Order: sequence, then structure tokens, then C-alpha cells
Amino acid sequence: MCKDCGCNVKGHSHDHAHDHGHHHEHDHEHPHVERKTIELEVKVLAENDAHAEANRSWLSQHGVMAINLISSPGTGKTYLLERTLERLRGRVQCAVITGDQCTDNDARRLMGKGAMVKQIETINSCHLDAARVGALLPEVAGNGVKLLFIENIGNLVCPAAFDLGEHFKVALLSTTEGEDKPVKYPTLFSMAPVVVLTKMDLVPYLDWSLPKCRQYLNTIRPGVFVFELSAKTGAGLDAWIEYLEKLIKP
Amino acid sequence: MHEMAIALALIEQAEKVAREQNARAIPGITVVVGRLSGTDPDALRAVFELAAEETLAKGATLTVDMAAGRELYIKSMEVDVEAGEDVRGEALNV
Repeated sequence: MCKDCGCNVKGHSHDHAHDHGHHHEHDHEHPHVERKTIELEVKVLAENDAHAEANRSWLSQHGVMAINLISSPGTGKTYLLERTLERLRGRVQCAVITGDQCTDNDARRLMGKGAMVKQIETINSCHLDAARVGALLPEVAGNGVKLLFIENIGNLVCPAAFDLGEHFKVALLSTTEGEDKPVKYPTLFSMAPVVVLTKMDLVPYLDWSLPKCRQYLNTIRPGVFVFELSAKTGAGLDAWIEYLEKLIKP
Repeated sequence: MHEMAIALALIEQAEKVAREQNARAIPGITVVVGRLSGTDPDALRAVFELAAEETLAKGATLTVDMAAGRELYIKSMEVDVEAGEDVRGEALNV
């Protein structure tokens, strides 16, 4: 076998002789950069999740139940909260953190109903995050508050991705939005164990089917707890209020 | 859309890992995005480059692996380290 190339062909040679009158200088130090791949499993929202966990333990320590209300803009989150605060006044100490891109209109609507209310203006952000909510907790939810409503930015997509440290999410869906929102926006509806159907008083004027809507809701989240109500007429509000009162019972 | 917030959080986490490894640059990141994570992969790719400006991930290639659930995590990243430096963790040479 040829010792140079390892082949089995006999009778050939390899000419290796060559002149090398110079030598390669290498008198400087330069970093040799190596590229490596690191395998990981780092949550992208780890920072937000850490804030959310801190919020959750703060809430537990202070005996506060926190609900994150999420819906499209105009579903009636603020209207439902107005009616809810009025009904719970003097019975359950409530507080509200409400988020909007701009204005404190919602906070002003909710003030004077016996609850501490704080507005977060997110300006360019489409969701509330746990750090922003956490910064307000001692001021808003200290002092004997039992029930904290976090009214998220009107948006069915983004708020679902950010844990705020709430105990659970409640999705709101108005009859005017159509029955199939749950299947169109499955992220939120798969994460919300409770859904409130709002504007039920408008059903006679709409081509909207309650059985269809409930079917869609159950497809996305089997066994979801659904309230049907109208904040305007007050129909169905009793069940919602009773439910909230039971939530905070020790 | 909130993909800019996602991109910034993604780079923040990646830089944290890179600093632990004494890396000088992050040329590539692979992220797993669940269909129920609320994150749009195209929107994420679109804002990633801008979010990476002035970070260790400047010019990095973003690879998105889709998954079925709510997953949203960094699966792997490439880092440039000086040769001879020990890369901690489960490191594989490319």
C-alpha cells in the first residue's frame, strides 16, 4: 500500500519536495472566534412571567382575587364593570386597573362607585404587561381589597399572551360580534375558563344564535362556564354577581 | 400587534444567555412558536431585525419552528465565543 495516499496502486510516487524560503510570521495575538450552538429552553416571556409570579404571590398574601377581563374593543367591559361595582358596593371591596391605549375615560366612568380605580395608558402597546400591573398593586389593591378587576386593552390577540399574575382570565364576547369569535380567536378562548356573553338584549335584532355560539365556545374550551347578560337591562346580572361573591368567600 | 414586545423580550433573554457564555455575538436564534401563543411568525420575523439593532444579536438569523400549543421559547442559539473559552451548558460544536 502506498504510504502517502493509502491506495493499493503499485508503482506510483508522490513528489513532496518544494522550496519554502520564507516563514509565516505569527507574532500577534488575535482571537480565534468559534461558533457554537447552544441548546436551550428559555421562555421568551420569562421576564414577564417572573413579574406575573411576583404579582400572584403579592395578591395571595393580601387575600386579593384578581380577574383579567379580555375582549374586543366595544364588547362592554367597562359597562359591565360599572354595573358590577354598583352592585358590589358595600358588600365586596373592589378595585380596578383599567388599560387603554389613550385617555383615562374608562377610569373616570368607574370612579365614584366605591372602588379604587387606576388607569394605565399604554400609548403604543396593545396589551398590559405584568410589570406595569405590579407597579400599581400596592396602591390599588392594598387596604382590604378582596376583588381586583384588570380590564385589559380591547384586543382579542395580544393580551392573551401576557400573564399578569391574575388568578384567571374572563373573556367577554358581545352578541354583535357574531357567534364564531371563539374559533377565530382560539388563543384567548382556550385560556379563559369563564366567558361572559354581553348585549344579550340585542339578540332579537340580530341573526345571532346562542346554541351556535355555545357550541363554538365548547369546541375551543370544553366545559367553559358561560354567563349571558345585558348590562343595560340588568338581565342575567344576578348570576354574575352571585358568582363573584362566591369567588371571594373563604 | 405585540410582536415587537415579543422580539425585544426574545433578544433580552438571548443576550442574557450570551453574556453568561462570554459570547461576543449571537449570529442565529431558533425560536419555537406555538400556534396558540398569540404570536405571528411573519410579524415576528419582520420586526426582529430592527429589535436586534445595537444588541449582540445584530444581523442574526431568526429561525422560527412552529408548534401546536402555546409554546414560545428559544430552542437554540448560535454564539460566537473566543476559541479556548469554555462554553458551559449543553454545548454542541457545529
